[in-house]
Amino acid sequence: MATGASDCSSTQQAVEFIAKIRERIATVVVGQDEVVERTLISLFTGGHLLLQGVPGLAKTLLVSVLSKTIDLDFARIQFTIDLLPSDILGSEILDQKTSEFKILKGPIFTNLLLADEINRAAPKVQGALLEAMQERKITIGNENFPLPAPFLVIATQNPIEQSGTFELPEAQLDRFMLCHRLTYPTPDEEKEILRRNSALGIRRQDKGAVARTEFDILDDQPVGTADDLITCMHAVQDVHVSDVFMDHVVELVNRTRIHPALEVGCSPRAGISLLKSSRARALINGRHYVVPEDMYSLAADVILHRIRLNYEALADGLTGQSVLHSIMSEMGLTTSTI
Amino acid sequence: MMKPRLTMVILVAVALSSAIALPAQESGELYSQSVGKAGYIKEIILPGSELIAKPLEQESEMVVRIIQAIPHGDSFRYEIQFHGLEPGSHDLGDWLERKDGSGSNLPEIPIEILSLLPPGQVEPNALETGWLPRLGGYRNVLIGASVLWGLVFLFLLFGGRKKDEIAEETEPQESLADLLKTRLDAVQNDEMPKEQYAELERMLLAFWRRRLGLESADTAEALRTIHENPEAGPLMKQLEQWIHNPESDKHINLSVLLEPLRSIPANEAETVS
Repeated sequence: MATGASDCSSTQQAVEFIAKIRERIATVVVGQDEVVERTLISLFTGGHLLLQGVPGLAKTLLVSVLSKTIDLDFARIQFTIDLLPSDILGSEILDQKTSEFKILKGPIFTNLLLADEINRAAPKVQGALLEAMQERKITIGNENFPLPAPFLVIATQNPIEQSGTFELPEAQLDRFMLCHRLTYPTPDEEKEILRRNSALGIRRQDKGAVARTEFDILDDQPVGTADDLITCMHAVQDVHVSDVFMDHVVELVNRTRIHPALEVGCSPRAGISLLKSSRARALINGRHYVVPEDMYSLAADVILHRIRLNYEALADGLTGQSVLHSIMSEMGLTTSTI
Repeated sequence: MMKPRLTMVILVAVALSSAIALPAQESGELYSQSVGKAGYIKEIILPGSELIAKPLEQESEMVVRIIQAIPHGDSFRYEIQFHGLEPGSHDLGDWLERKDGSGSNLPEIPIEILSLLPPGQVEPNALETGWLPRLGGYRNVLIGASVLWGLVFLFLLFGGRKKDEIAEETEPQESLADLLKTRLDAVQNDEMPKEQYAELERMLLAFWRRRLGLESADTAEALRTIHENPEAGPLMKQLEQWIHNPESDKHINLSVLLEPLRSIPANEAETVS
């Protein structure tokens, strides 16, 4: 609860910092406000984010601009079928000069990791990454290495090309705090994208020239540092959560467990994720307390990848989205289930 | 011209071979075979009309088949196949009968069925007949299971439904108006327990969703629309502040805040506009 003057000032600082980040991102990425909000929520709470969407929705661009905006280390791994765990984590190599083994750290040692098309890699590689995400440390040889802080994984999945992919099992999906489904931009946003792209021009390189992309116009000057990020993380912890809000969360999570169309409901981790992400959303929206709208806005991203429909529901043509909609609609029409 | 000595040898050989090929009843030979193996009696002449094998019975000790029966004067010459199922001495005539149904009065045709088991072999205990008439009683079990399944199916089809109907009749669901009225009355009387504030907030959201026709809209989107509505917005925002904001004015009288809702008739609270 933000009661003290210092808390208020840190909240104010956080809100200003968030506004600067959004402003900077908006110079490169058009629209996608929800994705930007979800990315910031993940960053402020330390929960990992899974983005589901077709290629070309500026997922990589968004993460790149975010890393440059906050002065964070950024790495990108394109997941493929032949990727090995050591390609991500690192390995021991023999230094021929000294005849000693040296540790070569992999790209996972970064602040912001974009795991592109995570479902294309074999389960062994997925498991290695997801274990690192959970424990925030990895083992190479006999040595343990803690991952840098902050450490955030933003993974992407393409929902349409399912051949040659390995679907993430529920237990591993549960490790992602949020799973956001990206949508296409609105016609106005798309027009703005085209307008900006047509004005990019070309860039001289060596003796020739290449067409400039959005990556070329990224401003390398960050608007804040890791300290500003820590201020935001503190501010999130100060956001007030009322008992009534907790009742709403428990009610929603409980209803997924008893719904007749669902085979698997939400785990307690879903409730925790809903609470944490709601606090971050409240801060992003300039509030120092959470309201039901935070929960309802984030419910789909927190819950949909954690529930599984039963055969009857699938045969009836129901989807996770429709079941969640019915659960949230029924919440006020009957007495509490808890 | 054949030599007399050679002629004698040939005659003796022919005489010996015809003596070996004599029929059983003439030679008095005892036919024998081991249990389960096919034995054959060839060229046996039996007096009287034609013989056939008796119909096979459930516990017959011998399986007999007439392969060939050729008239032979007023008798018949037979080729017979037999399978002995029990070791010991048997008379093959016991498994033969006249084709015309007359009495058999056959000469004894002794057959020895040999056991391959060593003497003193322990025999397995005879199977006890169970409560079912036939061994295993598979068909009866199948019929019984089908009848049982049918009964269970009928019970599920009609019994369960009746129960549900009765339950529905006896326990009618409280309507949203009823639920809301109960909570609003509790607020008015200052009797609302803190645990029920969440329920009240959800009911008010459901109430305004119905009233403003936002039932099919996304919940978060519906909440935003409600906040922008001139009638519902101020009330819901104030309530939200009162419940969730720790710095809000706690002196607001909730019963006064919710008073306009108390005057809405129940049927209107249920109406979807």
